[in-house]
Amino acid sequence: MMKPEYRSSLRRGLGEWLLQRLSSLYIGGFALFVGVKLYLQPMQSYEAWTGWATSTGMGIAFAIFWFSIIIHAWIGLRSVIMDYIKPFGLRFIILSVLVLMFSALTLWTMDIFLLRG
Amino acid sequence: MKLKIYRYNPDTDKKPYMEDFEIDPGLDSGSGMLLDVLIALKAQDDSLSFRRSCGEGVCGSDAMNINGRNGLACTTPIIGLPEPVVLRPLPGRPVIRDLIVDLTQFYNQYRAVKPWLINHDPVPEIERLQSPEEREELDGLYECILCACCSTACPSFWWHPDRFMGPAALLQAYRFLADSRDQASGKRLDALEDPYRLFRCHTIMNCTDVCPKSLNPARAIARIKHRMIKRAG
Repeated sequence: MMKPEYRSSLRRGLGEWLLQRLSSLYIGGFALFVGVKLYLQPMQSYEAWTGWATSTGMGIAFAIFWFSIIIHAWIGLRSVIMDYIKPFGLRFIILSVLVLMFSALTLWTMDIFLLRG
Repeated sequence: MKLKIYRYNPDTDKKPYMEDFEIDPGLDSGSGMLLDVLIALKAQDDSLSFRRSCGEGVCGSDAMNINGRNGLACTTPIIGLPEPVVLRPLPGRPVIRDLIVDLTQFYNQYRAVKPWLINHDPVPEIERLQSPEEREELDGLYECILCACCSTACPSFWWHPDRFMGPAALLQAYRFLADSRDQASGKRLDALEDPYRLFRCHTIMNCTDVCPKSLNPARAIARIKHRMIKRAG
C-alpha cells in the first residue's frame, strides 16, 4: 500500500510537466514566427539568411529553440520509456543511451551557437 | 438476445474463454437493462459470476466492459446494444472469476489520498459551514461511486497500477483539495508531486469518456496541476 506522506528526492513531476509544456509553446511559437517571417520577407541570398539568423537576438532565439527541442524530446521520450519499459536493467540501458545522445546533441548545439556562431 | 461472456473459474479452468449465450430477455425492451439480462442468465446458469447490488447506478458494483467500453450493467439499456453483446471484466485488473475483478489496488489508492476532511479546528457544535459558492465547488466531484470504470479504462493505470493513482483516486484527491473546510491542501499536494502518482496522466481522457455518472476526472486532474503551479509560483 502507498504511503500517503511519501516524500522523495524525485519530487520533480511538476517541474518536468511544466517545462515540457513551456518548451512546446516556445517551439510552436518560434516555428510559426520563422515561417511567417520567411513567407512575408523571403531571404534573397545566403548572406542575407546567415546575417539574419546569426544576429545577436535571433542567435539567442534559435539557441533557445534548439535547447527547447532537446528538453522537450528528453522529457517526452523518458516519459514513454517510464510507461512501457518495466525491467530496470533494460530501462537503465535505454535511458543511458538517450542521455548520451541528448548530451551529444546539446554539445553539438552549443558548438554551433557558441563557437561557430 | 445473443451474448458472448468472458468465463474463467480459477478452480476448474486452465485459461479464460468466451462463452456464447442466447436468451429471450422477456422484458419490455424499452426499459430493460443489461443487468436484468444477466440476472435472467444466472437463473439458467448459476455458475455465471458477476457483482451487483443496488441495480440503480448508485453502488457501482456491476461495472464491466460492455462491447469494449466500461460501464454499469444496471444503467445500460439493452435496446440498441449491438449483438452479440460482448461482456468482459474491467480491463487491467486480476480476474477473480468471470466478470469479477480484484479491486484491492484501486481501493488502496483511494485510501492513499486520505478521502476525508482534515480540519484541525475545534469541532463545532453544529457543522462546519460553507457558502453556497464553496459548496458548488464540490459539484461533479462528490458524486463518484467508485465503480472503477474510469481507472480501469486508463492506459496509464494499466501500465502503473501500483504507482499511478488513477483517475478515480485523483478525482477524490481534488474533491478534498477543493473543499473549503479542508486544511491539508499542502500535504495533499506534496503527496501527489512525484513523477508517477499524478503526472503519469497523459490526458488521454478515457476516464471522462466512460464515467457512468458523467463526471470529469481529467478536469479534476488538470485542476490539481493548476493548484501545484499556483503553489509553486
